[in-house]
Formats: sequence, C-alpha cells, structure tokens
Amino acid sequence: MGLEIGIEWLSLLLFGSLGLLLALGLPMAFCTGSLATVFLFVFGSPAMLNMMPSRIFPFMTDYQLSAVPLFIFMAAVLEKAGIIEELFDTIYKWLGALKGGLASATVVACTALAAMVGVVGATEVTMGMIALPAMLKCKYDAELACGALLAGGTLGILIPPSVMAIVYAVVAQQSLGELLIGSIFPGFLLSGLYIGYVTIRCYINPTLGPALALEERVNAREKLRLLRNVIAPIVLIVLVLGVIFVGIATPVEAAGMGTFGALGVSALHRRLTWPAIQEASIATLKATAMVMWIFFGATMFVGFFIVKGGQTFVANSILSTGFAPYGILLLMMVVLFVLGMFLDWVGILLLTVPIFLPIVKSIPFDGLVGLPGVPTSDIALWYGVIFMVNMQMAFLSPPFGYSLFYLKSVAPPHITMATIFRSAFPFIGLQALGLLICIAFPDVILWLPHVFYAK
Amino acid sequence: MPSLTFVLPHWLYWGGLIAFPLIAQYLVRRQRRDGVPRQASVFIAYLFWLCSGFLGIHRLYLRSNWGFVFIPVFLVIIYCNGQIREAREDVSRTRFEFENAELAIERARPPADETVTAEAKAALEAAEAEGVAAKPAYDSAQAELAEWRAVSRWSAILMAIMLLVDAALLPGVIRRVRAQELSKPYREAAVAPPPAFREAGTGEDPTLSVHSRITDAIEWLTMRAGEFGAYWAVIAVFVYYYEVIGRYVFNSPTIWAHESMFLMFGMQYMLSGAYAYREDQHVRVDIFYAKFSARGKAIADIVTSVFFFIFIGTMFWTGMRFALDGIEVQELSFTEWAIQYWPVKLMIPVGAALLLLQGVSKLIKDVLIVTRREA
Repeated sequence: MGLEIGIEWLSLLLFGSLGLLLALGLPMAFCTGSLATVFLFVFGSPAMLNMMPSRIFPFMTDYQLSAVPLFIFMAAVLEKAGIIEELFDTIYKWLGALKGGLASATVVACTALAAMVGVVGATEVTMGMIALPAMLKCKYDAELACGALLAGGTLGILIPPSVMAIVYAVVAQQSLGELLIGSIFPGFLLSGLYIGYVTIRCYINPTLGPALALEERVNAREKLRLLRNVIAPIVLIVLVLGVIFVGIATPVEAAGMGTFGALGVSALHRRLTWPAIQEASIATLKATAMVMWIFFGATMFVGFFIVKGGQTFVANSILSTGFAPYGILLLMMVVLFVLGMFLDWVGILLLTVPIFLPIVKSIPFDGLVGLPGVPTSDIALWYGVIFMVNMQMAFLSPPFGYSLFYLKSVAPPHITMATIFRSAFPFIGLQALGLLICIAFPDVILWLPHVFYAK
Repeated sequence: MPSLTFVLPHWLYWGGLIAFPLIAQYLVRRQRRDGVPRQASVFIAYLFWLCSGFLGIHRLYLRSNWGFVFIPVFLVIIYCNGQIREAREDVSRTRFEFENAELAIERARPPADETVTAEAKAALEAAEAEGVAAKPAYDSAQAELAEWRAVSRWSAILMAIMLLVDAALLPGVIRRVRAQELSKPYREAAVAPPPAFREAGTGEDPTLSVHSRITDAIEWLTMRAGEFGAYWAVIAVFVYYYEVIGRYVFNSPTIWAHESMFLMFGMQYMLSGAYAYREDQHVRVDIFYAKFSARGKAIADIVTSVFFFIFIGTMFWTGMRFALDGIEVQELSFTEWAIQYWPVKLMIPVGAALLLLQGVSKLIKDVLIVTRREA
C-alpha cells in the first residue's frame, strides 16, 4: 500500500506491536514473521512480500548452520549415553574431601560437559537430576546447590562447541572458528569464578557445603581407578575441540565426528538402540525447529526495520546521547540484560546483533582507563563473545530464564521456584563481573584466536 | 593408500533420504515391540568394524583390548599420508626447478649457425651447471615420494589383513562377550539414567491435551512428517564422518558431502516447524500468558492466530511461486555435483502447508476449549 510515516513512529509501532503480540503468547517466531509481513504490505508493496522465500532460502542452504542440528544431536545422544553420570561420579569422588567439594565438582563436570555439548538443556537437566540429589543428601545449602547447577549448566552454550556461536557467526558474517576459540577463556573464567565463590562461601561457613563424611571418601588407589571413567569424555573433547583448533576439519565436520563419537560411547554403555536414536532425533528436531523458525521470522522483521532506515535511526539516537564508546557499550549491555529477562537468546541475537554490531564497529574502543584497546578488525569477534557472556545472564535472570525452568522441572518438590530464583542472583553477579573483565581486558577473548589464527 | 572416487549419485541421495527414515521407523517400532536386550549387538559391532575398524573401535566396543593394536598402524598411515602430501609438493617443486633449468639450457645453447662467443659459452656452462644441480634434487624427491608410498601401501595392506581377520573372528568375540556380560553385567554408574524430559518450550499451551477426530488426523500427519525428517540427522553423522576420513585417510575429499548435508538440513528445518508447533516448542514470552486461565489462553490464541495465518499463508503462497519457478527450469545447483535444487525449494511451501494445517488444528482445539467451558 506504500504508506509513509517517520521512522520514529514506525519503530514505536513496530516494537509496540511486537511487545503486544508477545505478551498475548504468540510464539516469537510467528510474532516477528507476521509483523514483518503486515508491515511490508502496509508500508511497502504486495510485491515486496516475494522477498520472503528469497530471504529464507539462503538459511536453508547455509553450510555453517547445519552445525546447529548436529551439535544439538550430539548433546541429545550424550545425554542418554551414560557419560554424564560417570563423569560426575568421578569428579565428585575426587573433590569430595573439600568443603563445598560437591558444588565445585558440579561446576567442573558442567564445564567438561560444556566442552562436549553446545546447548544448555541437556547439561542442565541431566546434571540437575544427578548432582542436586547428591548435594542435598550431603546437607548442602539448597540455594548454593541450585546456584552452582544453574550457573554451571548454562556454560554449555558458552564454552565451545556452542550453538550460539554458530548463530552469531552466521548473522554477523564472522569466522566461526575464531568465535569458538575466543569463547574458551571467558568460559573458563566464569567457571573459575563460580568455583572460587562456592569454595570461599563454604570455607567461611562450612554448614553451607560440608565435605563428604570420612567413610564415604575414597582412597588414592580408587581415585586412580576411577580415572578410567573420564577417558571417554576426554576423547570426545579432543575429537571436537582438537579437530576445530588444529584446523583439521571445519566446525560442521567436527560436529559430525563428535556425534559419531557420542554414538560410540552410547554403544559402549550398551544404550545404542533404535528407540534411543528416535528419541534423540526427535529432541534434536524440536530444538532445531525452535532456533530456525525464529531465524526465519526475525530475519524478515529486522530486514524490514533496516530497509526502512531503522538501523541508522537507532545508531543516530545512541550516538547523539554523547556517551563515550564504553558508555555506549554499557548501554547496550543493559539493554541486552533487560531483554534477557523476557526473551530467549535466539530472538535477542537475531533482533539486536544486526542493529548493534554496525554501531559498535563504527566507534573506536581504545581501552578502559589506560588498559589496552580493541583493534577495529577484531571488534566483531570481541563483541560476539561479550554478547555470549551477556546471554549467560539471560538464562538465569527471572522471570524468564531457561535454566531456571530446566532446573525446576527436575528438582525435588520441596525446592520452590522462589528458592531457585534467589539462588540465581549471586551467580548473575558473578557473570556480570566476568562480563566486565572481558570488556576491560579484551585479551581474555582475543589472545587465543590470535595465537591460532595468526594474522 | 587407494583413493576414494565415489560420488554420491543423485538418485541414491534422494532415494536414501526417503528410504532411511522408513527403515528407521520400522526398526524403531520393531525394537519397541520386542524390546532390546542390553548386550553387544552383531549389527553395531560390524557397523563399527566397517566405519572405524581401522581405529579398532569395533574391538573396544566389545571391550577387547586388541583394539589398541589397530591404533599404531592407523597412525603410521596418517603420518605417511602427511609425508606423501609433502613429498608430492617437493616433487612438483623440484620438477619445476629442473624443467626450468632444462629450459634455461635450451635457451643458452647458441643456434648451430652462429659462431660461439665466449659469453654464450659461459652462459651455457652456467645453465648446465644449474641443470646438473637441479637433477639430483628432483630425483631424490621422487625417490622419497616412492618410499613413502611404499610404506603407506604396506601399512594399508597390513591394516586390510588385520580387518579381514577380525571380520572372521568377530562372531566368536561377540558370543564370548555376551556370555561374560550375562554373568557379570556392565558396572553402571551410581546413578540411574535420566528419563526423557521436555527440552524446550514452555508447555503452557492448553490445547496439548485436547483431542478430536479431525485434529488428531491432522496431527498424525504433522508428527509423521516431522519424525520422517528427524532421522536425517543420523545420515549426516555418517556422511561427515566419511568426508573427514576420506580426506585424511584416503587423501580424497568429496564434492558432494557438504552440499548434500546442508541441503538436507535445510529441508529438515521446514519439516520441523509444524512438529514443533504441535509440541508447543516454539518459545513464547510467558510473563502474562502463563497467568491466563486455560480459557483465557485459548481466547488469546484465537486472536493471535490471525497473525499466524497471515505469516504462514504468505510464506505458503510466495514459497509456492518461488518453488514453481525452480521446478519450471529444473534448477540445479551451480556446483560440480549439480544436484537438483527444486525439491529443496519445494520444501518451503510444504513446510508452510504443514504449519497451516497444524494451525487450523490448534484453532479448532482452542475453539473447543472456549465453547466447552461455556456449555
């Protein structure tokens, strides 16, 4: 129909109606897609609707994106393969003598798992079912136990392989290998912060997380024997990460190899049956559908907004605030955090990255208070990892945080939603601290990619 | 090592995409019905023998430490392949130098009818000296390549013999392992395996438990279509595995593995939409929605379904035209493999049609909820 209105009103109308439809409970994928259709028709022309398949089709033929279903499939296979139980069992006996050792073991096991899977659900739920009862049985403080599980499980999507990195790489046209390698240290940083926090809390107040009773501890010989259990996880990690690092294969191929390894582990536990494969395939299908359909809808939505000059409008309004570059970045981080309270990461990524990234790329980051800055060529990579670290908080921030619901779905009934909410707060603080470190010391992110992809 | 020159024929690609899910569905149903004993399986053992026997995985699967014997041989093969690649480069580099030197001699040689000047003579001698210097380098590079090829060939033959012997031994090993595992079951970790859980989505949809004849029929279709596409993920695992092994063990990358797989996943994305909608897996923001009563949710769903139908209807309509354009010209991909593109494009309207049907089914169920409570 070709109506013309100013971009200010258009933005308000567009995002207002998005908010309204979302509040009414229409799934995100359909909200964004339908609004794009309606707005294209009203403010463009019926002929413009033909761009829909030609925007969707490139995603269907995108090479990198096929790593998304593969990594999800790998997680789904591993979850049923029996490897997680063994891993936790081993680490917990090794760390049992420490105060808060079980909580630390939870985080360590989650970190190791995160290096095998690229999603949150599988780690969070399985670890929740194994580690939470174990901790509660040992008289751990419920909030501390839940918090360690929430934060640890969420690492799955930060530490490579990571489905989020794949989606970011596709949206931002950024090298996936660099992103995956760049997110390793931030992942370990967060993991270290969690372990440090848990241990300090438990040493100050041992009733929060007492060490294992003497008779339950195992001797050094038994500990060595248990190490046999971690061979399979280590082989898998080497298979996936090693292959990506050394550049033997692309991340997509690494996903294929890793899944092959996961099937092998599952067979070794005699759990590789056709019904198990069916369950894993269907779980993969559902999780993939969720990501991809938001892709289809949101790409139309953002595409329309950018064509109408929305990107320039947002850039101008942000730049005209007169904030320093780091002020602008902080503003963006706050926006992402607030969005993270309500939306899930796929939607946030697809809606904000095409709009924010050009702004971030256009301003110089010379370093905070005399610290080293970020070279312009690395900003897309740096921002990508910062974004991923920020999204860790989205998983934990009430009222709508995935990890919270995952944990609630497997927690014993006396653990209320309120306990889980409360348990998340200190860890959100730790994540914010980690985010700040990544912003202030860009080398945490950039050093490793520079080593591997020497420019 | 021999090289793999297999190119997946188009008919096998499309045929496999159709046949594999059907076979898988049949096997799933059979195992669900008959139950599967938790013991070593002959099929899996031979599958590992076929796919990754060179790493001894089939032996490790049967908890036989003989598997480790395969690994050194495999490493030798991989190392040889790397050396062969390098030697090949050396050969082509030294050959280039050698041929250049020959050419330089040709050029420096004065034509027969000219008198030989001292200058020309000196140039000829210099060129010949260089030619003499280039020759042994070329020869030694060739010799080195031949040497590595020989090592590689012998280790490959050794591996082949080991694998063939093992193929004959496997049934006996499996029998022994089964007997052993019956008497002493494999030690489980202290905790039981987790049961199935809801992966994503919020499960807030009140229509999940509503049934009627027509909606059940529609949902049977969407579920079947989704499940059909779901099994493709298994194919991808083996294809990517083949690609990587082909490249590193046989020095022969394929032209079809990547393209066939991302197109397959592209089609899966479209088929999955309706399935996930049926299962309420598309994320929504449920700060308000979750607080509505079942009837309130149903009413909200009916209101928002207008937008749903606008989006998916447009996708169906424009996607149909897009696909028909592709069918008309029998579109092929621009790669060496030149696979048909139109079936992939056709999946856009097919996926949209499935979603439309699922949307109708959900609308019917929502209306049922609203009217049932009033009655």
